[in-house]
Amino acid sequence: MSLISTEWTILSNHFYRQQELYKLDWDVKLEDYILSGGQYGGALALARDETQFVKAQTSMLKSKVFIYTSAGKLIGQIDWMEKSRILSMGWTDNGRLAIATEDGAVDFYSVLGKHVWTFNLPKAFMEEGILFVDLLSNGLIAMTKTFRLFATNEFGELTTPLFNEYKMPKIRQGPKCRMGIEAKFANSRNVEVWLGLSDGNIAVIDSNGYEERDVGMTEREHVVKMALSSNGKMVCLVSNKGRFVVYTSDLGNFYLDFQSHATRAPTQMLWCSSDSILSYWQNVDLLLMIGPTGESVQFDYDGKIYLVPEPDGARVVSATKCDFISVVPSPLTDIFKIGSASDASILFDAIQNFETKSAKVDEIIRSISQRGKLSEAIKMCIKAAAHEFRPDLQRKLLRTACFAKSYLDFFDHDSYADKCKIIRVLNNIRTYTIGIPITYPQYKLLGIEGLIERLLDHNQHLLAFSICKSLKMNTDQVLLRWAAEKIRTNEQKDKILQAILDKIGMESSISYSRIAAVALSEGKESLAMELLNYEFKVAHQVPLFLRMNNIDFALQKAIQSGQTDFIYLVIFHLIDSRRPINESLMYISKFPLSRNLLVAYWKSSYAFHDKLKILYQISRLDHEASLLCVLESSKHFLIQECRISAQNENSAENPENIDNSLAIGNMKTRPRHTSDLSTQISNNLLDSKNDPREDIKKNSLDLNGFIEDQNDPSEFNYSTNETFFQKKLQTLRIAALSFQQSHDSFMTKMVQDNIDILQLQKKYESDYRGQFIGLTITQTIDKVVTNKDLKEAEKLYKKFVVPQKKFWWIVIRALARARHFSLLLEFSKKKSPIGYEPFVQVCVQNFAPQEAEQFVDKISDLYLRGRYFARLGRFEKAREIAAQSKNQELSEFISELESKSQGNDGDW
Amino acid sequence: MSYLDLDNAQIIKDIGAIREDTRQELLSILTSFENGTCLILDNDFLLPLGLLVDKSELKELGVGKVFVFQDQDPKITQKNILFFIRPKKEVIEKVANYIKLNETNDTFSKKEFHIYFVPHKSFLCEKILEKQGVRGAVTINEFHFDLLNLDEDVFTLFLESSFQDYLSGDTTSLYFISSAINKLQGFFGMIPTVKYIGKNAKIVTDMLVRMGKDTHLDPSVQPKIHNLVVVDRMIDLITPMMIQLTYEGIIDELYEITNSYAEFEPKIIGKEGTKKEKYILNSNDVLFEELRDLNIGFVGEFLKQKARYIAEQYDQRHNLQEIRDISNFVHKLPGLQKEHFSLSIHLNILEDIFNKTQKTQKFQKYVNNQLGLVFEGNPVNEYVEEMMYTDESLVDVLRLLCLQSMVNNDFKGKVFDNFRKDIIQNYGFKHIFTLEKLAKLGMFQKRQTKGKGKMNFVQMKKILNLIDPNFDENKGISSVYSGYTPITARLIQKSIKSDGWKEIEEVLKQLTDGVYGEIAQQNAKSQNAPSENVVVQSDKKMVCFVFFVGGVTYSEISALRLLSQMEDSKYDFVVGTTQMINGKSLIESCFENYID
Repeated sequence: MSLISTEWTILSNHFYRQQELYKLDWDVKLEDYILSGGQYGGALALARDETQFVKAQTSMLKSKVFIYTSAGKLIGQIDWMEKSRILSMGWTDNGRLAIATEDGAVDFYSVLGKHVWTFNLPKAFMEEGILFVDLLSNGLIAMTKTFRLFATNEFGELTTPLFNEYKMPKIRQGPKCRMGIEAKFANSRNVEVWLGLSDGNIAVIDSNGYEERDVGMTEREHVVKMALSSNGKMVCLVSNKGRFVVYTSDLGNFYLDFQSHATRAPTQMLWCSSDSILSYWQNVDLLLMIGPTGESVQFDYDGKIYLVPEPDGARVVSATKCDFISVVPSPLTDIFKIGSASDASILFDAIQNFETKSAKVDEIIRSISQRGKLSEAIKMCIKAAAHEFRPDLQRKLLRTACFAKSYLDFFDHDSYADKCKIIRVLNNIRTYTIGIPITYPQYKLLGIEGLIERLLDHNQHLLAFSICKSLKMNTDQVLLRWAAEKIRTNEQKDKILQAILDKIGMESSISYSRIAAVALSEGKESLAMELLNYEFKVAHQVPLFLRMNNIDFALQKAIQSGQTDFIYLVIFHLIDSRRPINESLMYISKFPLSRNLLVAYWKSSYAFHDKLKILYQISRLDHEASLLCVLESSKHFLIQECRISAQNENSAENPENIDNSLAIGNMKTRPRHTSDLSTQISNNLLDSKNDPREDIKKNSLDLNGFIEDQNDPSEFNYSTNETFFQKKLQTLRIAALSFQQSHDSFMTKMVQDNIDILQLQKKYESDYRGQFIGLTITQTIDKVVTNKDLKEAEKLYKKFVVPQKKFWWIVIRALARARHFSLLLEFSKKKSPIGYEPFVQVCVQNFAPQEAEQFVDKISDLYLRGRYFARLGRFEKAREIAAQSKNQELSEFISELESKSQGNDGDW
Repeated sequence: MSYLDLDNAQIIKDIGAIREDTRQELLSILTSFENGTCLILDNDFLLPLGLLVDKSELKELGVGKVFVFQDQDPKITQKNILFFIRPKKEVIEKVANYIKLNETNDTFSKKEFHIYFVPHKSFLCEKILEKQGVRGAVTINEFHFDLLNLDEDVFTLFLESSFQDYLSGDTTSLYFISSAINKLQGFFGMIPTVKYIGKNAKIVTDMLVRMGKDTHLDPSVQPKIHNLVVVDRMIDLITPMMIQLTYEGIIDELYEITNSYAEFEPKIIGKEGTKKEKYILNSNDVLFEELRDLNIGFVGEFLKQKARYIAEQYDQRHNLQEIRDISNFVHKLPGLQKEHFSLSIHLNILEDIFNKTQKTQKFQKYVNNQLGLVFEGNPVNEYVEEMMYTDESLVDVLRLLCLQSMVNNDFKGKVFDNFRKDIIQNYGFKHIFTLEKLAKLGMFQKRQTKGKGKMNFVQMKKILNLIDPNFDENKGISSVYSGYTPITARLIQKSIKSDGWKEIEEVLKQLTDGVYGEIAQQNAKSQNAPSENVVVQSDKKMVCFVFFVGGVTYSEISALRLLSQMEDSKYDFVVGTTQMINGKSLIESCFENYID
């Protein structure tokens, strides 16, 4: 019944439609402009076509870029007076207008014409001149006049993108045409560039390389225009002889060869979705559509037009109207195709008839229902409504669905309601006032969030808000953008604040710091301060206070938040700034938390120690400062220190520096790998067996493992590198002095003791064999005793005031372990402060029971003496003693032990 | 038997859900890489990661190799290198070096580096990467693996160095704690009351409350956890110094439990070979569940009875007359056999413990000295000196000295200096730093001439009623340390009693420097709802979540379990901690990275 299908054009069995979206009364002479339209019903940017216009003087003054909606409403203007010539305009994925100019800049504007940011093309373009710049939806391709090709596939936000220079052979002549293929369609996941060469070949270039492809051009024929289909699968090439050739986009399969009558290259050529091609010749006012099998159809327009590609068709902008040419979506053909016998079509017709009082409808619906096709038919109607632009037709389709669904036992009513809501949203957006003629498939691609974002770009906050509410979406983003816009107005501060509080309130999860940030970037600092008070997440206030340079507040809030990330933020803000270091440290030292964090960070690396000492000084932490000096005598810091001074030495041109490093370091580091030390790998660092008593598994080794260890040179060995050893002593001396100055006599003594023992150890290493450096004082005594030098051991005992008993223990254990039993016997002749049991014990422990016996006799306590004899298996002696002392308990012990097997030494 | 009321057992299932959540996150990370990956892990992550996925799964997910940082120069052939690391500067510097090294190297060309910070990234680390000039060469992500459940009532954040960090003033991980607890709230509903004891506990609580406001929890969810007590380890450093005397505690002291596993001689756990083997200790082992909280003195008797019981059960087979009896018996058999197996292992373990502790007088003497010190205040100076003569381990020496310092009002100047000197002479110069840190913690220090009206331990133990030498099996929580009640456990016991804090106000003030308190949390959207949840469930046990900031010992957890088993207890406890600790690990975390 409907005549809607009579508006369609049929081409190779496909239906196409040319819908008028808007009548335009914008009074624009398109011949004078270049035009670029955004996808998804996006806005149209118009700039003077300077190739067309030579009356320079007056027009230059008025030079502007205008931004219109597709409905012809002017929404933005960009003054272009002092800017250089526009080379290319384009809209990015996120709805920004990008304009590339002759001076190598690429500027980005909002849809309302507000400048957002700018970056510059690589230097080469300044030096060699720009041949072309083509803007893609999220990247660009560009060539210098010396034919160097650059591309980027990521505009990013506010950061200059990374440019790749694509390698290609030298060409003499510029390309006849070019095409940039978005990274998402390219195999290399990088932007791909196609150049039409004068010999008829196509050069395909990406980050992986350069390749020339034969596309079947005849002699003197070459490609003048290229276009990729919207799904990226097909490519259409137009030759200078008017030939249209269609290939798959890998140039693998050939699809179509269409000879047009044109003698010139088309002004514009693009794909209408993925199965037909629109080609426009301005000189003959001809818009031709070429179908999949080479049929063509002509559309009539007066005056110049511009084609704007969409994923599902193309918009045609002329001086008087804005049209949309596309394939008719299948749900619509299904229902409205002439002679369609589909269920949906029957259903639709039936219900239309019912409305005109026909009674057969019940029967028809039941029959569809019986075939089990009703649900499907209803869905088809709903789908068709979504694809349709005209509200009256939408209404009819939806009413059909609504009526018929009552015949179903089960139907997803929610999805019906949702679809209705979406249709309403789309209708609202397509109105003249908003002027975004988005189709349903485009909406599906853009997503509701994307759509809301677009509305916000258009400053349509109220509409966006209502949409969010009606679709039960979070409104935060909308409110936030609204608040930002509110702040940008010239209203009074209090009014703005009140308006924001009224609308957003306190319960919302919207971050006031984000709103305050906007106020700050608009230069409204006091408003920002007040807004910040409403931020309940303390931490989020920190970055803004920093931007306001309010360090006190920033630090205070950071501390309050307890989140170290934010404290570090303030700390680095301070120490990386140009402030004098003392001032920065003053701030940081105000709070123990911030100070401790900085200390923890600085402590681990010698390079920071100078600054750390200043911090200690400012905080009056003398004791900590002294401890740091001690820490610096640790091997890994000494190595760091040597490396740093070596670096300074190498890099220093003026001799002063060297003097300095010598003064501090008091040593000259040798160049690496000079000595024969490489064989001496046994450095303390790796030799944890040095200290058998230390049962610390998790010590320093883990921290330095993996990477650093590998380039730890063996040249840093105290035993063989005298200067390195002296360095350690020197560092310790500084530490001792430091403790002395703060009257810490105990620590002074300990550090001094360590210096002394180190020097002695150094001496012992030449006097005796083996490694001493790194041993503790008691281990040193032990080792000296092991070397039979009891005299020297005695000296150490006195010098370091080792407790007497301890000394005796060290000596007898060492002697027994080294099996110097004669010395042990001699030593026992002095009066032992620890008695003689230990002598027995050490002998037994070292498997010398016979020697042990000598000492049992010296045990004064008879009971104990008896027990030891018994344990040593000398039962007769033991019994003798038992008899002597008449000790019943002892006798029992002896008999018990004797009766047991004598295999064991027993327990000591 | 289970630690939790049946109704509360739901929590266990939800804990499973948390694990699954984390697992899915890991899987989605690993599947996002196409060309094969290689993982480089922080040393502590190997085991926890193994609890999420097993080797074969990793292989299926394209993970070629897994390294930890100790491995030397790994040869990596995979394209993608994933670092799973803590956001710590030492680690990130290593990563930066690694990247620098391998970027310049030709054979490594085309490698992609991805850093996954566990559980959150940090500004400092990004800054360091930036300063090292490798920020551009890596992607930075997060892997929110924070909660690991060691048992049905114990969570750890496996932040093994947290105590050390807090000591050095780096409180970064407090944020991880808050967000982990907040994650729990997402599963269990907002916890109505939060109490904190100690400074770090307050920071955690404050952050948690702010986070709670920000995350919109479903207001209709009835809270499954009714009470949260956050305890700062720093307020009780006495308890960890004590040798743990529960069965599980002593296993930890002697064999060191890591993530529920302890290593034993193979013959103890019924295996062949000579290499020590890991054995898992958790409540899946029903017998262990019954044993773990028992004082070691009762374990022998308990096992004997158990053995007798099992024997009796087996013996029933002789007088099975009716078919039904036989079928009943056969039904019981698998459980019986399992229990039998477990019994034999625990008997072996117990025997080994006795071998280690009773054969020589050493252990016994040590414990006696320690208990004498804590119960009666008997000084241990001479005993410690003797220990040093024979070079007993520094950790054991310091444990006792710290304890004496804390319970006997510190050391006189001369004595203090002598001990310090002896320690440095005997155990090395580098322990100058250990001693400094212990002093800073107030664990080992010189007596101040007239402290500022400080309460001494004698008063404290009276008020808190810490000492009960006549402890009984299962009765009285003091059995976990053979007569000493952990301060933490007592404070928690008081915390969940209404007005409980009032009785001990003086002690609390002293321990926390006055930093303790309570915050009522309410879901932003349910403010109007009456807060009657507490009243409604009078007959049902409520759940109290106790979080230890800076670590907890196994025996303290046992004390809480015993607490919930007491007759008048209204609460089941679920314990969370930054890491499991004992005296040894706590003392060792005071060691400085000083290389002689």
